[in-house]
Amino acid sequence: MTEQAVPNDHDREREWIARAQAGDKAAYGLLVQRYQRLIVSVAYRQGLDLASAEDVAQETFVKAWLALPRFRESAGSWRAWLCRIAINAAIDTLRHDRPSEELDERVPDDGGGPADQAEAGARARAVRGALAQLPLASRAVLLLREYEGLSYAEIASALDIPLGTVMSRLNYARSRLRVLLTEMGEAG
Amino acid sequence: MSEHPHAIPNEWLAAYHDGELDETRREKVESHLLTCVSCRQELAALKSLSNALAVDRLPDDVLVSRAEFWRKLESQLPDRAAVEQSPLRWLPGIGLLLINGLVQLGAAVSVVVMLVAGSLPWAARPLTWLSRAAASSVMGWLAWLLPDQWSGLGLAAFFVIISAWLAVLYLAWLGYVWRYRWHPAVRVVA
Repeated sequence: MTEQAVPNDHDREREWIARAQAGDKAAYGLLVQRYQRLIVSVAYRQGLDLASAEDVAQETFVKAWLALPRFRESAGSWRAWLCRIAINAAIDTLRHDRPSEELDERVPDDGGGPADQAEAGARARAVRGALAQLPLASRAVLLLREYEGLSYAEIASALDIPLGTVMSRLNYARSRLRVLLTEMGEAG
Repeated sequence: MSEHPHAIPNEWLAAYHDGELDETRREKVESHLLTCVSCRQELAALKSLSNALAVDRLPDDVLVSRAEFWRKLESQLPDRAAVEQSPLRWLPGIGLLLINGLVQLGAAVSVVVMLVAGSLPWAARPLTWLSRAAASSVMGWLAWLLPDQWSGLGLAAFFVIISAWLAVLYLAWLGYVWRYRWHPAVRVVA
């Protein structure tokens, strides 16, 4: 009797991609549902409000669907490819619309009282303010690492920069951010 | 890569924090951390920074549900096979090339007409005036400066300029298709 290998998460995802490339919308739906949050978040982090970020995410998945037959995993991961489309789409949107400050009060609900919520809101605003002061190139690397959890190789692929540049920009962004947050009294 | 004053390159500590080091380097960093207070402090600062950033994480409850997001998206997804196989997708490009071909033909004819008109005195005057009138919107000033037998050049230049504009439009269309349809992931910023 031959032992049948259980497909792991990565294999399953590759299978969905292959099926979606062949035109299977149901398989594409599985991919969309898996990456929806990531793509909305990537768009949001470019400076869009949440509604615009969701629109950009929709646009990203439509573009990815149309270009999917040309996607090759050898040129970079699926996740990095999607992020790159989302970043491009968000930048195109930002060229037409002003960045929103609507989300300033939107902070995770940790179950605390109003005082805790207010404090969390102040901390979130301070972090956002400090992030906004970073150079665009370094900020993009930091956001993809800290908020989206992309690996260095995926960030390099998503932003089309060398791996060494990812590391140096990340180091610079962190050092600068620490200084800024210390000045604001938010570090540690 | 800059060296840490003790034993490991600076970038290793951040890579260790991000889980990006291979096993050999990870072990080196871990053994170094046992003896180096400043590196332990640096690592703690990296963790502290990640925690500080976490307060601004996008909350799950503000997003539309995955099912709802997909329902909305599914209705927008075009039938890719129909899009890929439709001959209409090339219509703008082929149309621009055809029009450009006609314009260039017009330029060639106008040059021939100019040469013929230049050699036949009785034909020169009406053709010259015709050329000047047709060219007046773009190159009229140039046509009026030319001697009568050469004023057909104004018309030729008019056709060449239109042809150049059509070529620019064609390249713009090609760029749009390449960038937005075929390769949406091509970098736009570093």
